[in-house]
Amino acid sequence: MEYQNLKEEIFQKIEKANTLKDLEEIEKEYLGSKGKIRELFSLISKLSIEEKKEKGELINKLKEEVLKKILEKKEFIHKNEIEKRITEEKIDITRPVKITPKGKLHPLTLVLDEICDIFKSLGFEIVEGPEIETEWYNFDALNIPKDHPARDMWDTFWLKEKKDNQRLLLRTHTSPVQVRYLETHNPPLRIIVPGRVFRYEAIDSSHEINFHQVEGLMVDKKISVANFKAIIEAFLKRFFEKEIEIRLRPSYFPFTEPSFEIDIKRKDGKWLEIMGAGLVHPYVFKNSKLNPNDWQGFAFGMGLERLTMIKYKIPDIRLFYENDLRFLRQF
Amino acid sequence: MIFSYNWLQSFFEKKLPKPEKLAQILEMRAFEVESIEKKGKDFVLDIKVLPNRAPDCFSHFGIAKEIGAILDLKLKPFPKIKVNPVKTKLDNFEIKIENKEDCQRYGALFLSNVKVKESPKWLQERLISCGLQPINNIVDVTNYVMLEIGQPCHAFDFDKILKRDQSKSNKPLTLEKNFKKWIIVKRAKKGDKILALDEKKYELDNDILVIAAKSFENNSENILAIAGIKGGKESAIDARTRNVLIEMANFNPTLIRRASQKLKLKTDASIRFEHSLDQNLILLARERIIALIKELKIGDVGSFVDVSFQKTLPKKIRISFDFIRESFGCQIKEDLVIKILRKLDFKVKREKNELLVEVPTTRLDINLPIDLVEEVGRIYGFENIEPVFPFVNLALAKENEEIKLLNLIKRTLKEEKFFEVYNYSFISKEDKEKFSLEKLIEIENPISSLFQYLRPNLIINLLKNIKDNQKNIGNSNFEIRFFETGKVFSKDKNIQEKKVVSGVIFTNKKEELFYELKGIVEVLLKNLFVFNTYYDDEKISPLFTSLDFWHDKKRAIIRADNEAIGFIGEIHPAILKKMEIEEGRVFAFEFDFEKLFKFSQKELEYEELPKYSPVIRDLSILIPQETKLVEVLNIIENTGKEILYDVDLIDTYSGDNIEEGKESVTFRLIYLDKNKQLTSEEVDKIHQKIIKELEKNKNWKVRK
Repeated sequence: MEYQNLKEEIFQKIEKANTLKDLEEIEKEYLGSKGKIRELFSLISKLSIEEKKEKGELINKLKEEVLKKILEKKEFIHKNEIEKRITEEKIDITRPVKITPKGKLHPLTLVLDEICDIFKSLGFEIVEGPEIETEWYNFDALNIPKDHPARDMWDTFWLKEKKDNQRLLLRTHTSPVQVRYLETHNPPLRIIVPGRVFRYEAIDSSHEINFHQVEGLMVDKKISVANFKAIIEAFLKRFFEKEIEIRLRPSYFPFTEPSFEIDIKRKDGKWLEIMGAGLVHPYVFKNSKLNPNDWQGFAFGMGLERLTMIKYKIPDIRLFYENDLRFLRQF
Repeated sequence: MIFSYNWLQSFFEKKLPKPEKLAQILEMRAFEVESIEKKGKDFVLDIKVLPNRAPDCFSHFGIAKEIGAILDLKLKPFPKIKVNPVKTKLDNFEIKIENKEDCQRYGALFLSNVKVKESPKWLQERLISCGLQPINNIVDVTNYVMLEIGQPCHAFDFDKILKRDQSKSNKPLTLEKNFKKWIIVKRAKKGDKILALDEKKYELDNDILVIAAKSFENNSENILAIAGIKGGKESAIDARTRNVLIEMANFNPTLIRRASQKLKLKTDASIRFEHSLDQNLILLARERIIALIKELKIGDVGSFVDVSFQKTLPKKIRISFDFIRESFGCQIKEDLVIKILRKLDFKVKREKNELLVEVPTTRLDINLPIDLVEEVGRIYGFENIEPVFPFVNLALAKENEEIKLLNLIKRTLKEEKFFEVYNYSFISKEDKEKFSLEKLIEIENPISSLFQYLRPNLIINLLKNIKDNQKNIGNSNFEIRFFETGKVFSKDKNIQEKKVVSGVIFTNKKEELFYELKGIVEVLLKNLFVFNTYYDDEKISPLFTSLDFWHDKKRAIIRADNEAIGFIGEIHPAILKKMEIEEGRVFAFEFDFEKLFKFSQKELEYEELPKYSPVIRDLSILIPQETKLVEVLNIIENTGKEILYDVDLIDTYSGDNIEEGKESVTFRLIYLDKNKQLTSEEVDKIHQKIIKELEKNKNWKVRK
């Protein structure tokens, strides 16, 4: 066979080729437009038709065999290369890495979002109110009359400014929004009111002059202590992501009756106070121009800082307002 | 308030639970117990009596009654007293109350033949347990009765009252036929003074109620005590006291509270009066005082004068079982309700499905049916009420769009590497002066000058955050990004309270980060779907800061529809210096949240994706440095018209190889036709036209 030698020559070269580049060159040398196999076709062009047909077939066969061989070799090289990468390349998993800095949200925002999400899923609407309040909404409307010792429960920052002869203050709790909302909305209703509040207090590890509360209010024809317990247990279970044992202790807030404190049981068995609550006092309905005989409701208020401190085991409330990057980065 | 365990025990035959156990029981049914402390043979409990229960529970008797109700224990009755008044010559006085609103009732008991000495040990011990200093048997008895039943009492030396009058009138003390002493309850006059038992002199005025003595002989008046708060030194009991007048009164709570605040004088008596007291308590006080005087053999009991205007009768409240059940949301047995109310000293009469409840006069806190619900609830135990989900309409909660937008702002800024901070709503007096701030809202009673005003913007405190963090980071190159959302305050005609979003970028290198911040602002506006905004650097007025906060040449107001929505710029180096921020630059923005909310488009519509490929051409142009790029862009956009899909600024350069005062600016022009594939030729035609238009300006040269 006259092309046998050429075939062996090419096959040997393919055999020896180590890289894809080598193969490309072989392809060019033999199969390219000026390649040796192409040349063979032009050599037979002057032969008789029979010979042309016979040789042509042989050349075509040779061409196919070469192409096939090259393809096989290519696959082999690919496979080899992958194997080589797999064997040669490695990492050191213990090596410290550089972390691209990202922004962060404040822990109070994170926890407030969680609280709002849980109450939203229970059908509560989120409502806000002003931070500068009148004496009426902050105290009188909530059944805390002037010169009543109950006012001592809320140490107040007063403003030098007045509005329509009414004394103005920085709201000491989010409860004024109860009245503001009830005045303008018809029950049944379910709201939570997150917001900043202010107390005239000495700053220490558990007291700040401004902090945040989340107030809750649910009003309907018949709302009971049992209903409050169910809602608040559901909330706490979701918030702390586990079964939480709670207890209600008697307390006093002028705007709820009965009033209670809610404690949760800690791991060590001790009880931790986390919110105040109660059934909406008839006077609050009356002051909101609603008939107390038509409606019942519960209200509660919890400290956002306190819940965040419990959640992340933060020992000092002042950390929230120092805004140290080393603190903020942790959340 | 401090209570003695032994004293509480003395009300019962049966043994009480141990102090810790008793505290737990009280906590679950009545009041929190702050602490338990061993004191000699006694234990003292610090019980946080709730303010509404002060009238009946600022006393051992009151707490003992609570314990009795909770544990179902009977209290021993007080011993019955028999009195045969011993009338002496001096025992002739009358009580005059000037204004019945100020004093509802005034009782006074006369004692003669008094022997002042130390009290017996048991009595002293009880006072000491409760934190009171024993003084002498008379004073101790008045204090004892206050701690026991809650009625403050005060003892006057009657002879001293008389002697004082005498010294004033220079007449010998005569006890003639018409001898009579008037004790007057009246308002002080401005300028009146009194030397009180605490050796301090108090200036009095018309808002302060006093006890005065008036004599018939010369019509003179002497102030004996600040009513309900503190006695006077001049009529104090001492070792030589022979005749005593013991006061047990009921003063107006508001009046006592105001006077106590005004004089900055809080006493065991004033605390009790300002919380209101049952006027009938005076009768029990009289009984207890007399019993103790006799028991301790202090002296002879004389007449008792009791002046009152209106009797306090027990309130009657009607309450239905259904109301109780509906409030609890559980079934509670009717017999149990009745039993609980009776244990609490309520008189209960059953009338079909209702109860008619008579409230003891000491329980000033019980006025409405719901108040009785609370009483039943706490003794029954709120823990015994099983949770039940409310049966309500499954109504979808309304979304609070403002909070949703605020959260979007927070998340966008976080993605732009900002850290969120929470600062105080206050700024200091020093801040006001340093930055010449105006129209601030001032706190009437600031906790210190550090927190004297409400913040007019968020930037001042954000700058403080940068300063505070600088020292923790050290000297290497760094950038800090902070943002805050919150309320700021100012006053113009009215008081303004506005929600603001502000951010700062600090770099300690001298980098120009203005455009970086502008980019962030644009991402923010785009994410909030606030479109059609533009910057204005001519008619400038910052929203919440003043102009001098900003670099004169690097600042602009951000507008939408001609309304100012925000402000952006570099903070003036002079401000940084005042802030003691060393080295570096701060770039900042502030947005009026209300405006962002107003212009944020709620409806977003999908825009069809282009079907054809874009053709891209870059264009570099040499322009004078003061040229505003918007002029160049306007020409490009107006000439390119609809097939010019987008223009990006990809490079600016000045320096080597560029003529002095000029700048080379490169734009990337993206051509795209929505309806067909553009060919190179079509694009070149338009691109050349743009170049031609640009070069009409003699100062501009397109680089080829």
